[in-house]
Amino acid sequence: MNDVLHGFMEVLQFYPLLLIFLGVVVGIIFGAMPGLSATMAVTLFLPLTFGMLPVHGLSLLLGLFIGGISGGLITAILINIPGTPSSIATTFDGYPMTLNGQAGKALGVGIVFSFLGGLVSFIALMFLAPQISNFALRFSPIDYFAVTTFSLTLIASMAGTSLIKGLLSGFIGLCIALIGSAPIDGTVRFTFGFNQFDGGLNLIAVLIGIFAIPEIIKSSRRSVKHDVELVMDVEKIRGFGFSIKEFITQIPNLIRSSLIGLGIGILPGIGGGTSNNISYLAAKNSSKHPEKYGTGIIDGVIASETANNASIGGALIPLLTLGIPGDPVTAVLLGGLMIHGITPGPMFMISNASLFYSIFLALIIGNIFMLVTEFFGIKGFVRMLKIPKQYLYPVIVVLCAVGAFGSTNRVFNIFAMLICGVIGYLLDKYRFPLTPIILSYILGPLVEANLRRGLMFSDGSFFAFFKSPIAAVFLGLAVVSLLASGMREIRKVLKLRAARV
Amino acid sequence: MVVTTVGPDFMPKLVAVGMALFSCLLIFKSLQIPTVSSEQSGDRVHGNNSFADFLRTHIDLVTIVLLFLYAIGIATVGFLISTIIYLVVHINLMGMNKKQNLIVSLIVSIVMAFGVYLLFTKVLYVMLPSGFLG
Repeated sequence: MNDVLHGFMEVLQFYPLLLIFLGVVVGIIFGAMPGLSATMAVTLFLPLTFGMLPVHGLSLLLGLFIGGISGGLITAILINIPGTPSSIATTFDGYPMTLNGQAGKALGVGIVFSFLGGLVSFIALMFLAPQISNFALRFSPIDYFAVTTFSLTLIASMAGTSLIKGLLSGFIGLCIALIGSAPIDGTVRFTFGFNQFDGGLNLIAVLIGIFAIPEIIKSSRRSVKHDVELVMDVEKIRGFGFSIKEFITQIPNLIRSSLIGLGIGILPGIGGGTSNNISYLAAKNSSKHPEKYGTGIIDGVIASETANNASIGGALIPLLTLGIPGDPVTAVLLGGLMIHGITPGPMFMISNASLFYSIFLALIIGNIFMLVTEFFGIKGFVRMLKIPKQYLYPVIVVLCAVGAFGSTNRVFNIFAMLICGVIGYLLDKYRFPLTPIILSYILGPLVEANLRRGLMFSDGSFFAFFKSPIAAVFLGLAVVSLLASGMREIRKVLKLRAARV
Repeated sequence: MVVTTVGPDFMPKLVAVGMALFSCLLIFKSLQIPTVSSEQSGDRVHGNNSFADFLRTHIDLVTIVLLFLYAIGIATVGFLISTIIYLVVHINLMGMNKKQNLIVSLIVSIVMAFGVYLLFTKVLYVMLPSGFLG
């Protein structure tokens, strides 16, 4: 109880509250701006938190997370361009509603249900995380190896359209992770004699390089070749625009969508970017009038926006209890925590109990700020979207450079960031998904360290990995997830071949 | 009992085998289904300036080179000067199709460079590279 109070008091001060507010506002702008995402917002602002207390830094980053996921609905509804992948399904019904003259209603519904989806998931985080943590405390290195391996297979198979490319991206991430000292014995690998490589590539440099630099190169191209001006009209919008009765009829949709969002958030490697589509499909399939979906009904907007915000709390659960990031943003948050010397994992709830409650309260407050600022400030946000791109992106590059440099005060990091960025750009150009790179870069060393630790315990016997029930279950799941996506891939190839003949 | 020695060479080998395997699969798959080329080059803007045309057609490469020059600048002449120069160049590059005011871009660059510099060094206490010119 003492931890709860202490954790809450840490957040209920002027400075952290201000940071949450700023985070939400900036996050919404990043979310709404096509090409900028919640991941990018959190990555870019991570360097700002280096000098802050952990609670203050996390307040800012969580605010950005919430704002960034939610902000995408503005452009999705008003101009049919999802601001982030989290809002793709919002365009399906949101934009038709705008065409039908119901933009205000669509925005109101989207904002309120974003808030509710987030709320459900934060409460789930509050109650589930301690339980999972307790369970995970019993994990041996062998179990840990199995869980991380399972996450790796899931990431590679779920992210992106092609299984092979997803897996290859994952392997590239592992390659980047191999540079530097090996876990356990500290053998130096792949440094080619350069001392700069001894510690491995800096996490922040890799994150910024992979997530931000390809986007900057692409936007540079867009602005020179064909720049789309955003034209939006929001002068007539006021109120949430829907009735209590409509709200009550949407409660089953709310529950289903939040659970889908939460569940997908918990699964490692996939977050809001996937959950909104799945939730939309689920809502459509279980609806009495599926034919109305896509014509502009609030059900579709609700399914998408509830699920993407519910994924926030979901993604934080494996991060805080197992140290496994649930989506790209939590991968960046993991980096942020590690810079402050905090290692998320089963011990987190014990050694940093008050910080856990601070995180919970910061999420709840951030969610409320999101509701209020989006409601009252929608016109302001739309105006912000008119910042000329040619000023915005170069300034982002400067922040990237500062971020890469600032984490360890080495100019070398800036070059590491750029090289990762070029690799990311080339992979993105040939349609390799980028998320598996980051997640396997983070999880790879964990897998290796736990594998070797586990083998030390078992005197080098691999049989021990199947004796532990937890490990056996997760290794089994890893095989199943790989086989399932392998089958899907083969079926796809066969279908394409059949279609060609 | 199977006793194996898993040393620091295990993961690199595993990764190498995995990459080789899946790379072969990818090649095999591409041979099976030739993808329809979706390259579009029809939207190229033809100006009367050959240098502008060069920038437009090689914009990705130009951007990458610019970013590396900026990094080299940070390493040699320091953060402030290289940031100002970089910002002016990239802003004008990205705004080359619009009526881009050079003076405005210069003012924005100087204000942003000093703003970021002061924010990080004075408010957030993050050191920035100073180079030999300070």
